[in-house]
Amino acid sequence: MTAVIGTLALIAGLTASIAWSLLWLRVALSGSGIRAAQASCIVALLSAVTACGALEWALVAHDFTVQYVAENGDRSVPLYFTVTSLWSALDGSLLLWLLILAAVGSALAWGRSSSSSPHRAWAMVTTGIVAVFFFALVYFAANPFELSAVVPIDGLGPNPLLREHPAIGVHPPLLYAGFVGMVVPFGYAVAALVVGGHDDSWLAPARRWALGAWVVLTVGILLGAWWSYAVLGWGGYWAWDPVENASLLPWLTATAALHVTMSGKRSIAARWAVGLFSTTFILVLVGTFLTRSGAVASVHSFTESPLGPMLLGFIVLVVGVVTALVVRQDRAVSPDAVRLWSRDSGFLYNAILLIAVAAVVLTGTVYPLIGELLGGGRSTVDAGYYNRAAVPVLLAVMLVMGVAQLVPTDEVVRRRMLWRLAIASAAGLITIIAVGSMSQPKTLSLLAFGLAAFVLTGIASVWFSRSHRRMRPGLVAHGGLALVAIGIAASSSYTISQLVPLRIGDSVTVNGISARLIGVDRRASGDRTTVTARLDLGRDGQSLGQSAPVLHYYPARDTTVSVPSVRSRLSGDVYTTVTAVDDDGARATIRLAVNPFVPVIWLGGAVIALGGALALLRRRQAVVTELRDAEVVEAPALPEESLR
Amino acid sequence: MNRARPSGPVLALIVIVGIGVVLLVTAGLQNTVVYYRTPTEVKQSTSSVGQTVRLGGRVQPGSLHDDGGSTEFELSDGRSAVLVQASEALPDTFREGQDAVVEGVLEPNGTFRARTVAVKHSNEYRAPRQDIR
Repeated sequence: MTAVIGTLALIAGLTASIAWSLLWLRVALSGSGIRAAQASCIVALLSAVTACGALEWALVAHDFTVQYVAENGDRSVPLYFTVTSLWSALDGSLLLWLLILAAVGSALAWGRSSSSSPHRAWAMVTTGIVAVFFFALVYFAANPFELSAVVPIDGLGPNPLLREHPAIGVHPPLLYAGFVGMVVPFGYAVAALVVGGHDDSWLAPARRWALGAWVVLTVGILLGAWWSYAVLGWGGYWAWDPVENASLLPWLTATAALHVTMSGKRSIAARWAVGLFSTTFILVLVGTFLTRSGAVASVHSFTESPLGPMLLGFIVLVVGVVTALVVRQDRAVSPDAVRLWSRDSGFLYNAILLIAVAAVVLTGTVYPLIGELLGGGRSTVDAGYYNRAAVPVLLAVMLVMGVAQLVPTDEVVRRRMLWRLAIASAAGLITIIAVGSMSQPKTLSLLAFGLAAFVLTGIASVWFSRSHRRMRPGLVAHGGLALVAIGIAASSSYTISQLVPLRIGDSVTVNGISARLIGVDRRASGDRTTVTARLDLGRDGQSLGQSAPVLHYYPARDTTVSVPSVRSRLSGDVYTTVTAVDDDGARATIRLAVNPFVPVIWLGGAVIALGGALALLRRRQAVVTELRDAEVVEAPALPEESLR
Repeated sequence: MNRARPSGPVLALIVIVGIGVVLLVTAGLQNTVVYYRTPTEVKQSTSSVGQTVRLGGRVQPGSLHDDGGSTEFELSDGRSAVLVQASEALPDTFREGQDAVVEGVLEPNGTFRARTVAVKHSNEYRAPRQDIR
């Protein structure tokens, strides 16, 4: 019954999103019928809510006639992880995608921002077409409401890795919201191409949406890294895995877009924004294709379901339409010139470098696919590639960022800027010399420390300056990025670990931190057996408390999962994992790692998101002043414009 | 300066960064691309001897031997099996009958010396259908 309701909801959603596209097309062409167009979005949203609700209901009620529930539900799984099972497998997670997409579309449709603008209507047409595609994708290629061939007594439960950490309740929804939110700036970019002309009133709402999606995406990526660190047990937070790369790629181009759209040169801002907003959404689609169609595992597996070909076809369509619109665009408008050294050119340099990082990461991610298509066999690109090719460009981004944030908006304080640049550079160099002589970090890490000091000192030097007051949210985000850089550089240089078999009573010491095995407990509960290694942590005879890494064995899936125990302290984490336990419980193999500065990464990531959120809050009140300021900045350019 | 060459420095930077990216990518891809091989491919050709490759397959039941410091097991793809040696004790997450991926070097005598051993998790978070009873 729930399955029927769910499938009907999908059909209703598909129909409503077709109406959504057509009715908004009418609004775009004739300006009339806005009420009906808005209503179609609400119908699509209600359909998506019903579909998600139906699957949630089936999961919570353990309705194993639904195949998705049979594969991902289990009577003994706690309610929280039963609810999050909605997004623990592909088909269900696409429902969540639909829900967010319909919600975003409805918010844009009913939002009060310039309701009569043709840009908004065209943006709605674009999001409508995207909605049609995704409803069709779920209905035809990944319908989670398909019935089980044989109804089992109990289901398999969600993937064991997805029920170890509460973050799994928020990480996928936030990541998806960040991805889907990028559809609005993309819609506005298409609208700008369709409408043409000099009207760049679309930039402000597009940027606000991009900023919101960016903040959410930042938190989503951060939680993903945290989950990886706290659950997967290998001690790392980023493996340059295709799934991780897929989330980073749109973040990079969106970051570039958020910078160029601050440019005072509106024609440049508009051009770059069109390109970058489109690229960001295309990268969202590419990432979805890479990670959800099985294409990364093998080129040949992606045709097993119609999902891969459908997504690939849609990507080709989007790229084709955008390219055609760009080519057709009125080229009569020549863009404003930028000075070699100015705030505006800083935005562009930064954007170019961020695009370069994205290009490097994208190449590494799709290289195995291309290699396999060319007959080279299945391959994978390991993390060494990214560390060698992407990290240097990221450091260059930090350098440009550190310089550009000092550039004042007016001429008067230019001399002061050079002075600040000198102080920040000195701080960076001193840091490099000091850190380099006290310890032997890797070269790239050492550079990262220096650049972080450079960026942070620069922020401190301009924080109270009047000309930088409006830049404070950006400075906060930059500070967060510097913290992340410190955390990554330090943890990748100074992490020490040891893997040793311990008898009860034995201890292992790493970097002054000792762990003594005091007991091994075995306990069966629900659908799993849990083995816990109890460890006493200490430093120089002082107790640091206990830690209890575990091994969970799931008979239904015949899988063992090792979950680490992390004790965070200001100076770093004590990270323990139990990898093996003797049958008699007298011995356990323990991995003890001391990971300095890892908490700094989470802190820095949160600060980056905070910077974005502050910018979002500030924009609402500051739009008017900003527009006035923009006019003042633009004023001297006007006579030149008229010479043309 | 202000108007003469529209976005000249930007254009120059795009070119420079573009060349830089090409150089970084080609240099970065040296020795970081690891090919997957199946046990049958390893058995049939000697071309991967001495190279770092990834070998995927099912851990043959009954083949896993753990003598304190080092471990031996066979990886099979149903047709052929390759003997894998790892120099460390393997975690409990690793068991016979499961899929595993090892990375390492194939020695001339046909044994595979593994540097890393990983239990293969399904890419799609979906369990094999025959497991449902």
